[in-house]
Amino acid sequence: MIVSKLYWKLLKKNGFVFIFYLGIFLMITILTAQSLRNNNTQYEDVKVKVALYDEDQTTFTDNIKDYLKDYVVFKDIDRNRVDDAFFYREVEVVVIIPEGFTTNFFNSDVANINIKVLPESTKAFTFEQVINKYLNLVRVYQDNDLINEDYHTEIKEILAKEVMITLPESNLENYILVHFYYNYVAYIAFALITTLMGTIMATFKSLDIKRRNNIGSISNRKMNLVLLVCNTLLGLGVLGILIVLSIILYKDLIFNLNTFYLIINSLIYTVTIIALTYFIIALFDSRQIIGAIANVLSLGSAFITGVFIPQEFLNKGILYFAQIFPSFWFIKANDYLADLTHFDLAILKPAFQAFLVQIIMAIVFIGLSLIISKRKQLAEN
Amino acid sequence: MIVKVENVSKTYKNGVKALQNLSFEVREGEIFGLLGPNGSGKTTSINCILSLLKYEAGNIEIFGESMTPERYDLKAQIGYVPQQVAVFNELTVEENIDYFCGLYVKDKQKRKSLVDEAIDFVSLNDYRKFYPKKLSGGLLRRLNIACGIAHKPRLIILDEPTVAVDPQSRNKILEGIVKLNKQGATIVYTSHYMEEVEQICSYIVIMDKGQVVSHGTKEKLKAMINLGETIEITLPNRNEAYLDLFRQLPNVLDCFYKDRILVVKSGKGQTNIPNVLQLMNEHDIKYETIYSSLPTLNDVFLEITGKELRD
Repeated sequence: MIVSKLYWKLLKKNGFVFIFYLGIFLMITILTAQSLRNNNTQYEDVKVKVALYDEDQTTFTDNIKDYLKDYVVFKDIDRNRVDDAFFYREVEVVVIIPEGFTTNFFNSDVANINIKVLPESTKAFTFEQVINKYLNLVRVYQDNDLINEDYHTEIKEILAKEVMITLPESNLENYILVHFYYNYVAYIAFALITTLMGTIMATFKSLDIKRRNNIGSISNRKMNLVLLVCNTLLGLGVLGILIVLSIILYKDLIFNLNTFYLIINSLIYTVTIIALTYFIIALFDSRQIIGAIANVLSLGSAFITGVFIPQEFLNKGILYFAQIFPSFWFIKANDYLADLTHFDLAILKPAFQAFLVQIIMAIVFIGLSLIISKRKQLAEN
Repeated sequence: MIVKVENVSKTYKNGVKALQNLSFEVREGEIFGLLGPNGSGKTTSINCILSLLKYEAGNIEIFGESMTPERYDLKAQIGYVPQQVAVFNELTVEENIDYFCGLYVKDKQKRKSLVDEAIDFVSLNDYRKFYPKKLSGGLLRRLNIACGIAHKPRLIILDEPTVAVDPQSRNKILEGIVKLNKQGATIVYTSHYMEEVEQICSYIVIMDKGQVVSHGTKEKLKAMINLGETIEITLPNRNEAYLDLFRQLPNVLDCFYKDRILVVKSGKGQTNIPNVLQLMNEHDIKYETIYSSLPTLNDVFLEITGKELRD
């Protein structure tokens, strides 16, 4: 049919967009895979930069400092400029041991050390665990009357013993590559589908072209149906190519139930993105604006929904806001599904919930698009 | 009757009354001219005729049947050339014509020959593989026309197809329209260029403020007004005293200056040139040029509405 023929011709003319995004995608995927393969079996000790101010000055607080020096790097920062040092990331943690801390610790249950950490520093996040381990063990010693001259040395030795980590003999550690790949699909599928579909649909939406089409002897309903089929095929085609690429890149890792569910999730996500694109197209007429919105939304949402930075490292406020994007629920489901080792309905429930949110979003986007299109059509009259 | 517009009124959402009880008829085989200044309602009329716009009152029939957005059988017999060039920049000349022809003609072979004919008709043979961005304004307009006529419609509606076109391309377009008419198509042609309408249209409707102010053949329209002749005399210097002298000549309706040009408008009857020349001789009035012209459609519009078509 003439309309579908035109659609694919227009798509062909925009082929460079497809090649451009796919090129970026492959480059990042391969580079990340390389970096993950090199690092994912090694655990490296990272020392956090700490400014510690001891206002208590006791043997106990000296012991704490002695213990900590194996895990942190102390920075000698003047107390007056500690905020600046914190702001400029010269230190990641500021610790203040208040006067009377030792007395409070040994004579009551309430004894606090003031700890201020950089919110985005993952190293700083582990600092509290390190110091708590020591204090908890001292408390155990105290409760069992084991405090003697050597208690500090003993506790240090106990805590210094490395924990033996046994990884299961499977490909699970490498599955992170597939997991990363399918998370990244959220960005690339969004960018590709929105840009390509938006560009083509904007061409059809130009008022003069639309009027010329309306004078033709093909009904509007039929034309819209053909365009819907073409848009769906475009979305599924993009996803199909991404799935085939994943099979080519990770053929040894990919054939399992985790991937099956990741693909189901991607399929639902693709449909939601098609619906979202219809919504964007309904809102805006200009091809340039649609292109810009596609870029901003795909890239912006990728940053705040966990595509580029894992959701567990994102600020709670950002994650709360990110829930309005389909990619948030896509990543949430992906993160959950990638780690599963057993599959039954009860275990899959959180993933199904994320699927459902995406489907509801798709319905809302389609509903809004229809309302906006109808209103615009009335305004044109 | 090919098109019948009966008491159509259209008010836009912003309150502008674009059409007020508009009525006219287009007969088969005519080149029907819809003449009026910008904003007079020509394009709105066309959009209502084609059911591209809704209207709140009146009735429109095409080929004797009521026209609605769903009358695809009627649309199949109509060709539309919009005011703005409406083509796909991503398609070549040939592909564009093929697409718009394909909205009416499914058969690929038949379409190919129709596309070839349309390209021939607008003389775009050398530009078949060109993209619209590579075409000049005149060539683009010709492509715009080819897209609207390739399926050989019975009724062709052209909305100001010569706007911003060079004189050479304009003549080609006008010649083409006459040719289409000779091939059997009925033409509805809108323009604010009175010369074009005068040149090709067999029946003219003059519009202003969404209403028909006059209609008929160009001869009938010109016969309706009092003006018979306009004499324009270019003087070396403007002298206000001359106005009274010329006003005393017989059959003079009006006399005024346009810069250094003294304009003398006379009523119907014999030419006033001999009287004007004699007067200038008697009073030793020096002049550079003298020019006499018959009434134009602009004069018709001016006399009826009190303003010029190009206002």
